Amino acid sequence: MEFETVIGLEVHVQLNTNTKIFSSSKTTFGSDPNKHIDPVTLGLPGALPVLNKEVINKAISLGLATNCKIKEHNFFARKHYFYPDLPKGYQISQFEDPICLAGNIDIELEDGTRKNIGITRIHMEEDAGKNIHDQRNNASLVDLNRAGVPLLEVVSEPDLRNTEEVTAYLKSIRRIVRFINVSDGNMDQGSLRCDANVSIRPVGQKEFGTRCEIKNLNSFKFIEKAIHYEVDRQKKIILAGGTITQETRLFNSETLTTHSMRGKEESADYRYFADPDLPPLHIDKEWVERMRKVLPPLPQDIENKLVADFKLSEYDAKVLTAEKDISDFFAETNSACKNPKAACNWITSELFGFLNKNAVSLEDSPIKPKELAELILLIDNDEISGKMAKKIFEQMLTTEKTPLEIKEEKGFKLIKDPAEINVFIDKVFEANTENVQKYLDGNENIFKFFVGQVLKETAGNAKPEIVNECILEKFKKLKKA
Amino acid sequence: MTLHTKKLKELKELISKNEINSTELTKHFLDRIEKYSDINAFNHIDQEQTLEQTKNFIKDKKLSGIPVAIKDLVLTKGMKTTACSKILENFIPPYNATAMTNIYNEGGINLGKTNMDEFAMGSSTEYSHFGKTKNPWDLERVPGGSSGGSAAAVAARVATVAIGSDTGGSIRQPASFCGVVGIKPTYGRISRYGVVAYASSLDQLGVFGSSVEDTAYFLEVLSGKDAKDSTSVNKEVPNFSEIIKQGDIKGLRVGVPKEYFIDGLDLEVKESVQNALKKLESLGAEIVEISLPHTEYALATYYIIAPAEASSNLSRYDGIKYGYRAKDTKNLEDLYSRSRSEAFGDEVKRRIIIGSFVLSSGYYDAYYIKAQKVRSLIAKDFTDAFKDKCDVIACPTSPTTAFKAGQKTNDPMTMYLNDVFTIPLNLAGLPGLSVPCGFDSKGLPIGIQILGNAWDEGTILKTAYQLEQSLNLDLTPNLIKG
Amino acid sequence: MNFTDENTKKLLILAKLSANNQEVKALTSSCNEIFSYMEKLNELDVSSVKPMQHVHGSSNIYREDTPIKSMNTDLGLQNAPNKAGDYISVPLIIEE
Repeated sequence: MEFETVIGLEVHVQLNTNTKIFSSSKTTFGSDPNKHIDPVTLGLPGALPVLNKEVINKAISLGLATNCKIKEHNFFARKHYFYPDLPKGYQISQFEDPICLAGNIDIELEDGTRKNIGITRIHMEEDAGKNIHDQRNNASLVDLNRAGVPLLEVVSEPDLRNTEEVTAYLKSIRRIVRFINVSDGNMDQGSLRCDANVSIRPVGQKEFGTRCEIKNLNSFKFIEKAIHYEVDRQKKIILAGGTITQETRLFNSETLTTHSMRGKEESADYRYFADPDLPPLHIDKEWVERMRKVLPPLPQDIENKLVADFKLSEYDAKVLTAEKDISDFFAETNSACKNPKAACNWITSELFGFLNKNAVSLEDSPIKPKELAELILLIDNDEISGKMAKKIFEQMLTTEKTPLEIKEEKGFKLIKDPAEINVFIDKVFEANTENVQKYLDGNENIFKFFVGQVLKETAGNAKPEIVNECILEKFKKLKKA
Repeated sequence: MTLHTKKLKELKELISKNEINSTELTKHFLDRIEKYSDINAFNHIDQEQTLEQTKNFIKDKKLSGIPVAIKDLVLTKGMKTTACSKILENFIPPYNATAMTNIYNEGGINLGKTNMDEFAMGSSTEYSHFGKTKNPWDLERVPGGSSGGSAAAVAARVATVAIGSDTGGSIRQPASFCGVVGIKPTYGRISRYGVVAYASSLDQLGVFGSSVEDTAYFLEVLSGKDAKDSTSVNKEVPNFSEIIKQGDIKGLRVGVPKEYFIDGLDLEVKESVQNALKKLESLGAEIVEISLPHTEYALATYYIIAPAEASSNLSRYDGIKYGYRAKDTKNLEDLYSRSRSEAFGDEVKRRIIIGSFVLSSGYYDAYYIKAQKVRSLIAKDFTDAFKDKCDVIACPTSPTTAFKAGQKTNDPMTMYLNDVFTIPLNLAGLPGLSVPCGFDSKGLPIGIQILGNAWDEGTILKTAYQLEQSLNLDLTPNLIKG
Repeated sequence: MNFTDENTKKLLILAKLSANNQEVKALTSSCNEIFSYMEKLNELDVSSVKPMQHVHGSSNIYREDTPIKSMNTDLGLQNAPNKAGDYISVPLIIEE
């Protein structure tokens, strides 16, 4: 029997707001334990939630960026369960009436094909704190810094069919949230987390099989392994004549297996009801339009534009839109020098080469877009050669000097005066009379030899097109003679 | 020394003129609390902290130097706040409720925390972890609940005014039983920030006073929009204590709901209330019979919604971050269930179970959602009445006068039936008060409720003031006479 | 509806409460009485009525994304039954 895998993802996006969703404590990552606390975070008696407006703005932005409909009437609900990192004994979330519905995004697979993945809903909720398990002292330690940090939960339709699609989808979401500045989208730091709903069905069957939810997937590698394990597990059960129990399973990153979370069934009754502490939210068309106006261009759109308008390769367009800061760097450089191909090349090979080798981030790049543009313009204006440019570039990496300053210092000047070049050509002709004759006798291929030699003589600092022209002229003259 | 018979404005005068100082005044009340400690109105007194405050208050404000009693579910920073539950018996809040901040900003002093039914769940203050409070009018009887401590404190004049809270009648009913004035303002008038939550959509803080004027004055201090409470509403706070004295109630239409005069209403209570209505008429008011047709469904509605919200609000008491934690627990599950079971009282547990049930899957629509729908109908009864039939509504506060301690604790439903006349108002979110209107043949006080439209505390206070002045009752219990 | 001990036991687990047999029976009995009283609501036809989930029709209450100084850790945790440094300590949680 052939099986088809069906996967839906629930991605939790931690927002990069300054403060938590329901209190004004900071959301800073990596602080000492229990530093960012207040009565609401601690779930103290008498504490009351007050909604952070910026969370709504970011939710609307993400909804627009994923083609969702923004719901006009929203409210928050309480989701009840007991756990030490959940101080109130309930999480404030949205159950009915989530803020965004029925969206979709495109993903691109390795072979270049595109697939559209549906997004069922996006809703706002608060994050829980963290438990650290101290086996040695037989205790678990609770840190509530993260409790109350705003999350957007993005629920996909069960449109994914394999781990390649899953990875592409996650990368797409990650790129979008970073581009529109709603989240750092950092899986290592937990600002992008994902649970997977996995089921299988015989190929051709319309109905979905019973699904299991897999939790604790915190890297692309583990997501892949977890899904493969789970699909195998389910296949084995069905082939042996059994049925799948709908349950939540935890992924173990050491054994690379999933196991059932016992006891979760009984406590699965979350007893949702509308939170009486939070009045409803009405998002009118004007609000949505305001957010639409300030929405940054989306990465896929920028990518398409780079190919269509600037004729860059699809590969290059992807590299330049992998991160917003790269895209911004390129845009700024190109806007100043108006040479997208050159900007692309200098950034992706020379600059990235340096940054990667020295583990420097683009943000900390010693060369800024304006300066790079200046360098490119010097080339484009025939003031320096490509070789000279590379040398200047190297200097720019270690000094504060501008390209122009370095050019002057080094006395670089593109050799483009035919008179100057002819001196070199004469020298080369004199040293290679046999080859001169060969050309005159009809061996046109040997022309390249002369170009190469002249360029060598000029240490690569002559404009190749003019060298070409001058050599041609010379040969023409010789032929006449 | 009759400092305890003086009104707030008089005390404010005396202090600002230096005829008495705050420390003397406060000591006077602390001595009286001690003298009448048998009543057990106070759950917690911290003399040192209180007297320290008498040296440091803000001058020339509404309550400068005047001590006020605080129901023990209002968080007082640095002073124990327990909601009279074992689960919070050693809890010292790290922050003040906004109501306390308001009091301190107006120069007020925290006299101490008053006794209450655990987590405000009760109608007699017999469910406190710290023992019951006695009614100063008859020590064998209950003061009502859940704000029994605050009501008794004012009745015995061991405090001039006190804060209470009212979710289903917990201010009005004890006010009636104790012969004092008690007001629950419009939902959203006073901030709930820093108030231990019972039922979030019903809870409101309110005031007890021995006179309508003092009640109105203290209400001014506590009221106002609070950015920390999303359900508090931005409405200007009128000078209630002045409004009550402006003009008269000629032409005021007083609606009397026929559904409130039913079997089960004690005849003496009925008679006293009817006398009061006649008094209002003689003052120029027009008595109009109205109907609030869904009144009979209010109790069932309340006992679905309130426990549902309570079961949710009490989830935070888990023994983890604060509060009682059971000893020698085997694992986390054990810690949770033993901490909660050992430290919650029976009535609280009962309501948590009821509340969890009506929210649980399969029952949510049939119970909780249905109750919220009926609530809409009950609220509409009131808005329809106020739209064109009457300006205020008058009715009995409680079906009986104060009952004997232990009389109703065997059967929850019997206890719940105490609240039939007070509950509908909470469901509608409207303001209401109880003002004494007479006594029964045993000498026990009887209260009449005056209910108003949203934000119209001014009119109901004015009506109560006129009645109070006209009736001129002697509201001093024998216990404290002489 | 007929509220049984079975119902009570399930709810005790949900609410993280424990009770002995006697207590379970007492709870079942009072709940039964209370839920019977609630049957009253079935007399009403509320099919076209909206639930009153929020009082007074307020909406859109929110604040700016401006941080305020956090509560001091010691102060915030002063009521914690068991601490380990600045963490709150609980018995080891074992995820089966």
